[in-house]
Amino acid sequence: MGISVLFLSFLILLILGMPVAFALGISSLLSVLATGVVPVNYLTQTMFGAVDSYSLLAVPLFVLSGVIMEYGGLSRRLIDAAKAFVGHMTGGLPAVTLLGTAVFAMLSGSGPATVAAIGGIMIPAMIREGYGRGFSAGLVATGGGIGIVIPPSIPLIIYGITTNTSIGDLFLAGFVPGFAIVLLLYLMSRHMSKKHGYGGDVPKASWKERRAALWHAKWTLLMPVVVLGGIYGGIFTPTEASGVAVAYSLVLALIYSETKITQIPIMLKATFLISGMILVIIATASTYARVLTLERIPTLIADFLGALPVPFWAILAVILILLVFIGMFMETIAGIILLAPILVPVVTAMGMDPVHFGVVMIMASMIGFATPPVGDNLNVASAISGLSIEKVSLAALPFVAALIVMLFVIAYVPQISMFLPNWLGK
Amino acid sequence: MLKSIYAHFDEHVETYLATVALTVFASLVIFQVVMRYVFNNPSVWSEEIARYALVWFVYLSGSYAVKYQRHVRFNVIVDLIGKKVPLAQRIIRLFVLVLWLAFLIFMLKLAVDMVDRQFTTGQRAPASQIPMYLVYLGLPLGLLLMSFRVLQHTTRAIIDIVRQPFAPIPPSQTEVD
Amino acid sequence: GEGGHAVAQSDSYTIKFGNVISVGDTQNQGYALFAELVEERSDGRIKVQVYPDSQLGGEREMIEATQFGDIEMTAPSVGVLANFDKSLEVFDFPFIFEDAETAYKVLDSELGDEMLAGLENSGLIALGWGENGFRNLAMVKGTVRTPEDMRGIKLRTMQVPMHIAYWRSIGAAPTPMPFPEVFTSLQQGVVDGVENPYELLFSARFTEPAHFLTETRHIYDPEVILISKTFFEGLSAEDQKIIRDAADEMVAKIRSLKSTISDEIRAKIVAAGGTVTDLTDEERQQWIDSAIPFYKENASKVDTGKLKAILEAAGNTTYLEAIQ
Ligand code: NA
Ligand code: NA
Repeated sequence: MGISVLFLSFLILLILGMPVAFALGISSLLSVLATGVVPVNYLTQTMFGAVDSYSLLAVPLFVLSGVIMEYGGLSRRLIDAAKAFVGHMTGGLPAVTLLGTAVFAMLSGSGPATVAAIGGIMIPAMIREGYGRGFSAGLVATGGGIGIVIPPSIPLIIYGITTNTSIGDLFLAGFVPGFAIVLLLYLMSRHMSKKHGYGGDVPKASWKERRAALWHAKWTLLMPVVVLGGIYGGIFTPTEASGVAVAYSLVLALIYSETKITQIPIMLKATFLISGMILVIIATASTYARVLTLERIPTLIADFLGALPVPFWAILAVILILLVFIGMFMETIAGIILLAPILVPVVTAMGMDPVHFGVVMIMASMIGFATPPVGDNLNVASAISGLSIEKVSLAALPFVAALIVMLFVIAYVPQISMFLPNWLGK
Repeated sequence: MLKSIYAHFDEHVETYLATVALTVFASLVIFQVVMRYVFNNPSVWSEEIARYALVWFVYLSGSYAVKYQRHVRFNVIVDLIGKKVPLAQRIIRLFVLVLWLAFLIFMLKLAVDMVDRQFTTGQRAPASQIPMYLVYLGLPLGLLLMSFRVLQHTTRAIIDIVRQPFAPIPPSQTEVD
Repeated sequence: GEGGHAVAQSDSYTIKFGNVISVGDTQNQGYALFAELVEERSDGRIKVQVYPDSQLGGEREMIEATQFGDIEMTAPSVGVLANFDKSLEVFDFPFIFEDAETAYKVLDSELGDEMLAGLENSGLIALGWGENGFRNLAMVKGTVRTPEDMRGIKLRTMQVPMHIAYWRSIGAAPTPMPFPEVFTSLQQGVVDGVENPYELLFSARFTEPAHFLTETRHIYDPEVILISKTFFEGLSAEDQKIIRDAADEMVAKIRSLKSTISDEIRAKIVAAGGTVTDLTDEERQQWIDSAIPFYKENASKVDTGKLKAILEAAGNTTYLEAIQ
């Protein structure tokens, strides 16, 4: 009874176009009213308690620092530096896009901020230089998601909070897979550029020009050193790092003085819109997850998966397919809050490190960003490129397919993720 | 006069309050690092107040995202229906808004009860000694503002149905090629 | 809703028991026994559903949920519960009890019952004293033997004012920090050490980065087994007795498990390359003396009568004299 109300009402509400955050809240309420498993007062308590969390402060703070970087001219400088180094290569602008995204990802914890900052500049630039509109939008839609795998990362923080896993370890574990994905996407886009004859001739920059571009971007490039160095150097916690990122990007914006005072309200509003969307989902998805728990559903699913008479690699394969499938429909954060408590006990019981599984879940979320029908990055890429969601989705498909293969590799070869935390964490 | 007060409220109510909350917790997080690392004298209450400012921030910024319809949703099926039968999409939209509003008002009532209970028990926060009912007040306030925003959207949806029930619904995305 | 829990004798119902303890830890073994006994003795009428691992929220959240009858039972640590009943703050004072036997003697006395009864004013009925255990030190860089060694040391503490005040009074830098951030902070050196009972230190893996342990036994940390008052008072006398008796057996089981687990965990820590240091009598005396200024300063800030009564029952003359 409770189960069917929870699932069915959620599904119907989603189909009707109810925002995910509130569909989760309404189904929780309906289920509690139908079963009386707990008095309804418990729901408001949970909506308060779920966000009364110190670690969660990192969400709006990383969003804010991402927005300041975008408006403060930091992304522009990054791209110029990337262009000076890789612009002349075959598939030059895609390489600039990916390198720019990777470095921006080390500054920002927010996926949407990364896509907006880099995609906003690079999609028009690629189209201007003769790259296919669909190719450009598809590349940014997939590659833009890299911001959540490469630390710092809001979804990794949410995973860490939800499953009580060390956020510092999760960050370390995201590095190598993150850059492996960048390399994979580069090789693919290079191949496709060759095939379609994309790209003009960006002249190779001289070392003098490269030095100049680096110098121009020096404070921006120092930011990962400050933020990540501060975490791993024992100066502050990952949560506090988000505050430091805000302070540092503010100082940079002041130094570069590209931001006007009149832009501050615009930056604040952008921060409110992105974080409001993420945070309310955290509140209601946690409420939904609590109702699931009260109905004992995670235990039932975990027991079912654990009792399957098949080897672990087969269960893991089922889980991976499930994650990709759910990623098509589910908003990232809600997906993590709902699924992590169910799946983590299953995989850890079979000997998988929760840190490793965190990276796997986050990578599946990255794929979900770029798969229809619910895909944040597709929306952004579609808005910037002027293509319909359908066309962007189709263009992103080859990249998505490659990422799914990569997901399996990362899931079955734990060393790719665990090498860094095992080496540096001890 | 009244109209301009309403316009100002409509434009700024969330942004003013959320800016205060954001400023509070952003400064406290940095303050905490400075106190611990520079002065070797960790702050006792900064963590608590930062958390409570966050709770307020969640529902204030959440309401702002309701105002601009930024909450993630799944539009594909409703859009498909709208292409064939615009009126059907308008009715579904109105139904969703009314249900949403009902949910928010129900939760608002519960949240007010919750604040009332906190007021009665006279709880205070352990480190900062702030009365807990003030902390909890962020939830009903946010729910109230969200109800207000959804009510605005509902009014617009009703006007739209009355004025042009059968007009095609403008696509949310414009196509280039 | 709340208040609507009047349950007829023949009714079957479920008790939701939320806690923040990990699944395999000793307390949860005790709670599982409680669930089993209640179900068995009520012929399956009363089900007890235990939700471990903060599944239903944090300690503060669950105390409130129990108070208002949203859930029926929880078992918070005294540090958090003291915010609901000030007189419990006395347990936040260091070095009251010499050993677990002394603590049991005091908690099981009339004085202990009286303190539990005080919770009724907050809508909570206490079924008994559970146990987190004695809090000990775990340091990252090296073994601490004397209070002097704590000078300038960043020690992660709970968000409990009296804990913070004690560590500050001996020159340490107490750093209240949320539990999920502690492991990384130890690993990266944001804090130099942490203080928790052995079992928690070990199950939260804090002893991996912080493997220099010292058995200071600075605070005995009881937890309180709570049941919602509105709910409990709506039950038949027979059901109340089933629950109370099972709770007594649960407490006995937790205590007996706790008495062996510390030795097991000490052995595991040493096997993993860590060290566990016992204090000499002389060193321990230095620790006890180190808290005298703290007692003088803070005794008047809590229920002083209760504090004196506890110290007296525990035979602790040092601090009794200090605060006269
Ligand atoms: Na990132
Ligand atoms: Na998707």
